[in-house]
Amino acid sequence: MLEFELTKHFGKGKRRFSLDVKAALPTGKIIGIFGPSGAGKSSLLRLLSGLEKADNGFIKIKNEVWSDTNKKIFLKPQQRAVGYLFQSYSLFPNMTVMENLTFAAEKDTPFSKLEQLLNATQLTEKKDQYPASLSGGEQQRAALARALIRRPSLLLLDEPLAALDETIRTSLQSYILSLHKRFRPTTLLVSHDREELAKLCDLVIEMEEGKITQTVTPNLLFGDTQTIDLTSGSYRILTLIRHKGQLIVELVSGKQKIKLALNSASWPDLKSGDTIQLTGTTFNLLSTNTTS
Amino acid sequence: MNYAPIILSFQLALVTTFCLLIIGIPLAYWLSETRSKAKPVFEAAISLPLVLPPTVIGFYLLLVFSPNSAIGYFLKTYLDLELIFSFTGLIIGSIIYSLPFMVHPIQSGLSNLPNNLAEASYVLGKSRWTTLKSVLLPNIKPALFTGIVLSFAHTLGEFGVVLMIGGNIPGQTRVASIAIYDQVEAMNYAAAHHYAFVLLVLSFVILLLVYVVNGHYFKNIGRARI
Repeated sequence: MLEFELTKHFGKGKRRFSLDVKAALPTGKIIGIFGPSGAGKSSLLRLLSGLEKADNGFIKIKNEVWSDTNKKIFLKPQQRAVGYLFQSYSLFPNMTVMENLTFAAEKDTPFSKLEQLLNATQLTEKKDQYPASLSGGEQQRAALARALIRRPSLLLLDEPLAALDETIRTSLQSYILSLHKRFRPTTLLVSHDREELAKLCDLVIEMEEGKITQTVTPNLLFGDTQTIDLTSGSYRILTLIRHKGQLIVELVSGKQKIKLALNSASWPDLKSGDTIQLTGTTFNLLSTNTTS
Repeated sequence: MNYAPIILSFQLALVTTFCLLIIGIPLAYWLSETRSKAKPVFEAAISLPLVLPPTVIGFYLLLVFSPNSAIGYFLKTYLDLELIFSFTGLIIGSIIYSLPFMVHPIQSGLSNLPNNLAEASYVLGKSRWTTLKSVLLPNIKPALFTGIVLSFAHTLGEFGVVLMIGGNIPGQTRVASIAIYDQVEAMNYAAAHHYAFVLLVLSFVILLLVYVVNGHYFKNIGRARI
């Protein structure tokens, strides 16, 4: 589990911004962080990496405490097993791709491991080139390889694909997925791109004004344009979430568990466990699962 | 022509520049990233030699180094070190006098680097020292070069501070600028001209070197990015 409960105040006066977040997230997954600009997404990553110190709270990953203000524990970024991919790549301009990797690697890292990563990111031919002579996509692949060389238990990706064009972004999404499958670090991915989050993430944290408003599966958060025709009848609601004027309900229909988005205003008092009467209409389908 | 004052000037400039590198780099690094409220105080203190007449700095150093002052007395009694009218005193005076010429370019170079360059290094487990040595300094080579050359050239042309602290002892504190003054006082314009011309040419060559090397560096960077 990656658990954290953090508060941090930034700035003063009118520019004051407070971050107050709490979550317990499964390890080994890709977790998206979604929300408007200024919601505190990057600040959360900076706190988790140790680049910023929280005013209050703790960070615990797989029972290892990285910071706890009550116990006066604070591991510096150097002491945390973190990989951080910035939006602007931040490869070291004075080093070639290979030198960037060897600089990041532990001293006893075998050469084969470096080559393996270069291979996985298709940078073997570019290993002796300096970052300035690489394309944006190549730079980001090299930065990703560098972030993974130390086998981080937490990989933080701060809008890593935002500055890239559509084609490169799609191919890099595949890289992220395949590298994650191989190394399995708990990954937090900040992105504004709903499609990207839906494609890459197992869970999505939604943030607003410095707070986590919900942690849900991507399809639950972003909905789906798919629709379903339901037979009129009574359905029991298994779970229910109200989100931005929508009512996300999970119910059983025949042998399938289905998630639907309904207009929240039409069902003001509905709760989990209630039975809902639906009259043969088309609904926005979010997901389906066959029940056992 | 007696070349001793020119050689002494070079020795002073070399030692001062070396000491300034050791002092200036950590100081500039700290100034470039500190959020301390005391930062403007340090910046103002470091920049003082830019606006103060050198004689003012020389005068206060004279007072501080004098055996009648607490510091001067301590140095003389416990370390057997007399800084007035000595080459060591000249070095200390020159370090203070040329400090902004080393600190400002390096501080500006470091401040202009993207923030996350250092942060990327920290999250890769690298210490602040390793980050400075392997990541930050190699990426501000032109600023470092400018700092080194300006400090060297500024020390080479120093007069007021040297005169106040060092006086005019041949072979010890009589540097080229003092020798010029000395020769003019003695109405020996030919000798003064020799010293002055050597300093003029050297200063021009040094500055030319800064512009050529930095121009070449940026041109190469530009090419690499195309």
